Amino acid sequence: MNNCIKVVPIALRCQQRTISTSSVLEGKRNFRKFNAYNKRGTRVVKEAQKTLANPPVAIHKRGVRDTGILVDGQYVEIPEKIPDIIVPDLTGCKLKPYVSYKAPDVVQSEFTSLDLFNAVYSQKIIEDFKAGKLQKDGSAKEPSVNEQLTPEEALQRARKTGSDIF
Amino acid sequence: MSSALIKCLNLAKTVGNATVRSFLAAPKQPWQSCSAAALQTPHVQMPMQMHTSAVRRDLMEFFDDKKNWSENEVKVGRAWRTEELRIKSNKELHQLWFVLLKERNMLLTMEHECNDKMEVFPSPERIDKVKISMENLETVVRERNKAYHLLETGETGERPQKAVKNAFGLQVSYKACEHALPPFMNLKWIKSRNIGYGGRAVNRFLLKYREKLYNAKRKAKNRSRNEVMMILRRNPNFDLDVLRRQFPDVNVDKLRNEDKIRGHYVPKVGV
Repeated sequence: MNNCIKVVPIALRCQQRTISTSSVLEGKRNFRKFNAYNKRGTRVVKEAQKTLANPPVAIHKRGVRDTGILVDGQYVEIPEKIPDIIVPDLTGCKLKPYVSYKAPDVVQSEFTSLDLFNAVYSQKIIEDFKAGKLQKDGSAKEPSVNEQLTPEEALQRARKTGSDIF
Repeated sequence: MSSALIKCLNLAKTVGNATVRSFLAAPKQPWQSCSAAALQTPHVQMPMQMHTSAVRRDLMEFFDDKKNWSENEVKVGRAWRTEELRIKSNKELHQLWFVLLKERNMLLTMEHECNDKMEVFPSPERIDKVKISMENLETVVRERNKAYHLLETGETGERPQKAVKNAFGLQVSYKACEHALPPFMNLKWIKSRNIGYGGRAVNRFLLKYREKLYNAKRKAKNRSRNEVMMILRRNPNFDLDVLRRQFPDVNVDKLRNEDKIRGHYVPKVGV
């Protein structure tokens, strides 16, 4: 019995389970495998990100555009680069994101340049024709603001900042 | 030089601030749409006005109505169709765009939160409906933009497209975009572009690719011909005009003279 009592600790120690792992890899050694964005990485990496003109990892801006530039390490804000989001007044807006299934069907063809011409120009041309205010080539003697618009001005007006580009 | 540039930029910033202040001090006027087609309608150029939605100091607009949180299904209507959007004015389209944008943000926020909390996100098809509505709205805006450009300048106003060949020798459509530098000064682009494609591997790939396309076409033609053959074999008195209209690729007259359309029966001779 005494022999058994003496052997018990050895037996228990033999029955214990152990695990083993590989050596821990510090960040400094295998830097390329880590995604070290703006605030991640070691202290040295963060310092380099902050100070270098071309940091080792590009600054992750999450899709947001800059509103200024760096001049000799000094950030200068440019007013033209600040986006001007034009939001309509939605108070009293009756439009909803979905359309009821009971809504009546609408039949409407595509809006063409002929429709735009009829909406803007044709009324004045008819009136000028009746009043005899047209020249021989068909242009008006007293052109309106829209008739004085040249193609270049129209293109400039349409291509202002914020317009859609398809 | 750099200090002078900094002074110029700071001066520009000051002018910008003054402009914004003058904008805010301007009397309130109804907001005018910036769409290209709407620029034609007002006869006087309105000054730029700014508007914002009502101020709410919390983020609960990003979440759905509280009574919908534990529901399994939220009943909503369908997406906006193109015909319905065409009868709306530019102002209404602008408002609708932001209504849909808020709805999309709310739906994405709820989806993300439901995933975090291991809950069921009710009616996920709402995201698709909002996406379809936004696509249709952009289609209508594009139509009006094209109409304006065609009327005033004679061109569609859209980006010019060019057919170029990619690295595999396949033809793709390239849409031109604006660049700050002219091509001969753009060193990065000059270094990165590869002029032409080539190599034996590309040629072999193109041969196999064209063979694949040709095989698909050949099999489709054979399938059509076999279908006509079986129709005529089972129904000798089938209307040939219908067959010609339905299968334009198949030579029906030539097929009638062949033995392939003869069925497994003895032709009836005049008794």
